[in-house]
Amino acid sequence: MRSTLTYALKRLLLVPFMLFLIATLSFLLLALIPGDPAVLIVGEFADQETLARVRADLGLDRPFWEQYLTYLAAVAQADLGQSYLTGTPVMEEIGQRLPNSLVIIIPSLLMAVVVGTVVGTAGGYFRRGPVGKVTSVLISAAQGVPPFFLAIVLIYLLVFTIRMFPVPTGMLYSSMRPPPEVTGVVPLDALLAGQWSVLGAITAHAILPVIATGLFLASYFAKTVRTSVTQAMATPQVEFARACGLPERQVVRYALLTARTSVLTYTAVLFGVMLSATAVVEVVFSWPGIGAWALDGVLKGDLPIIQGFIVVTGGLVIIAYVVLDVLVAALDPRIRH
Amino acid sequence: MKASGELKVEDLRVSFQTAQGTVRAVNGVGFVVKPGDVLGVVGESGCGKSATLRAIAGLTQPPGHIDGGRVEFDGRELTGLGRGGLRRILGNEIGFISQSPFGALNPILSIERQFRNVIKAHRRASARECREIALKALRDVGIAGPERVLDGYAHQLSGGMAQRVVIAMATVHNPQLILADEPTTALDVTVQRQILDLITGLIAESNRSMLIVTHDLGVVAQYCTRVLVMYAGQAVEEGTVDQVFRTPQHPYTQALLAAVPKVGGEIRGLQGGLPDLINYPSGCPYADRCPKATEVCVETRPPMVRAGQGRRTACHHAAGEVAGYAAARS
Repeated sequence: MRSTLTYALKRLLLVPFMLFLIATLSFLLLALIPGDPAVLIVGEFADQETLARVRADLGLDRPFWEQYLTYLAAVAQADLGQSYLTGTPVMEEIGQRLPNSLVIIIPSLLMAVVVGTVVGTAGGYFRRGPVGKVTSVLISAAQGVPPFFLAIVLIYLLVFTIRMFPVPTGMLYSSMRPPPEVTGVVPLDALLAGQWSVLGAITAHAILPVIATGLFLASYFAKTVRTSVTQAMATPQVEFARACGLPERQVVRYALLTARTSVLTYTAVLFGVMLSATAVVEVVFSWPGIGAWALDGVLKGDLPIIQGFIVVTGGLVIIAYVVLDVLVAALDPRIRH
Repeated sequence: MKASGELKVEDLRVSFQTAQGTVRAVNGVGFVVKPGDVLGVVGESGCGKSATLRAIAGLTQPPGHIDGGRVEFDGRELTGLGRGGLRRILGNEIGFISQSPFGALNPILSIERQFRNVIKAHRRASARECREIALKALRDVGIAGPERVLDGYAHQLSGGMAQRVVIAMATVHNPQLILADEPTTALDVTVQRQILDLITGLIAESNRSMLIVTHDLGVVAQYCTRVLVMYAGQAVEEGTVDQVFRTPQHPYTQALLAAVPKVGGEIRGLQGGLPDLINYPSGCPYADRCPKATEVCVETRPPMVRAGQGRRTACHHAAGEVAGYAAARS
């Protein structure tokens, strides 16, 4: 246990350095992306004087390295600047939207792990029988259908045809008043105000996007688990477990143990992917999440939004990977000792 | 009290489905292992000796398939038992020792946890009782600090120690019969002897029996009471170690014994290769390589025939050769 702790600390020490690298990368974007932010803000027809003033306000007339240091100092104080177009602080916007996205991403990842592990195990264990063939088809289908398409089909069937779920217009019913603003994070504010009806509405609205995303993600878990279980079933380890007379469910559990690391790895990787990939599903469901917002920022060339999004999601991915490394080490005695 | 535990195998057939066709790995092998017997099954790689062992324990994995034959243990037919019935016998009345201890042991679970699973598979026991049973089993296989081994993991053990742990697990329920698949191939030469001494010691102690698959004739000579020689999925000769090693009747056995390197002597390999196991020959499978082959060998397969005193051989030309070979060797 002691060695796991030291290992965790060592990995944690790397985080600030990685964050520094990400901040640097996101700053360099400024130099790489064509166009003049000043033009974006005041428009193409502004006179030279106005443009120069805006540039000076943004600090764009300073030497490159000076801009870099100013940017790093600001990021270190959690100041990600303001949107060029709306003027709202980026950090505040992210703080309010990221939790909304997590309301979709985390449950869909959990669903994907459970569904994927069950389907993958069945597929690997019965790979030669009809169950194996069916799961194989299911996995390919789930991988081939993009989540937004599944989302549209689900909306058509379950919202407009049988009216089982609310119309996909954000997190709340249109007639519902949002909870009193304390943190700015709607689910959290609802919880603080004890408004269970609001929480219920959020849940009802979240189910379809979670299913659409979760099924897609589940296919990846199912695939890796199926491969691991298929391989494990042919190992001398499983043969010896059977030869010792272990019940079949325990034999399967032995085989599943080998899949544990790859499931954890996929969870961390897909979490990182979903932070931006959730954008399309958010658009389909009008979900006020971070992905749709960042996509909008990218399309409009709103640089502080793009940079802020990169720094925050990059930081989250790094933390997810550190947690992953530590978990893997803690679970595997060969790394732990 | 567990019953006698005689193993009787009759006309066992195992095949493997491959893209090239059906590989006939075991083609009608039969033998008996009586209590107290240590039967060595020998033959070159691919002769079906491991496939035979797996089929007996019901461990044949797809694409392998048992096409026919009977396996009877202690008066019960194992082939028709199904997974559940077989499970109650495996690990309890029949112990299985595999080739590589690190392959067999679970790398993620502690040794104690694995012992507990194996013990609880066949009897009710508390965690504490399981630990006591496991400690005793580890002491019985000559492990000096069993507590430390029990609390540790497979990767912390040396090869010899790990194989002792495997043996302790396989024999924790005192099985009457032990099936061993090349139990020392993965180990250092210096450790091989200790492990074999240990296994055969366990057998001799309580009149158990063992089937050991090996390609090492030295191991057979030293540790087995009987020997079964296999070639291309068939038994070609069977008898006591003394009979088969002193007066081998089948030309393949003779070639196999002649191929054992001797100090100072030249190394004599076997000529030719195994027959095609997909288009299996209708005659004697060894006819291609056999110096004594005649027309009858190519046309009809020689049956396994008794040659007195529990020895059998499958060769058209066997009977007349006994005296000649013995004379030539002495």
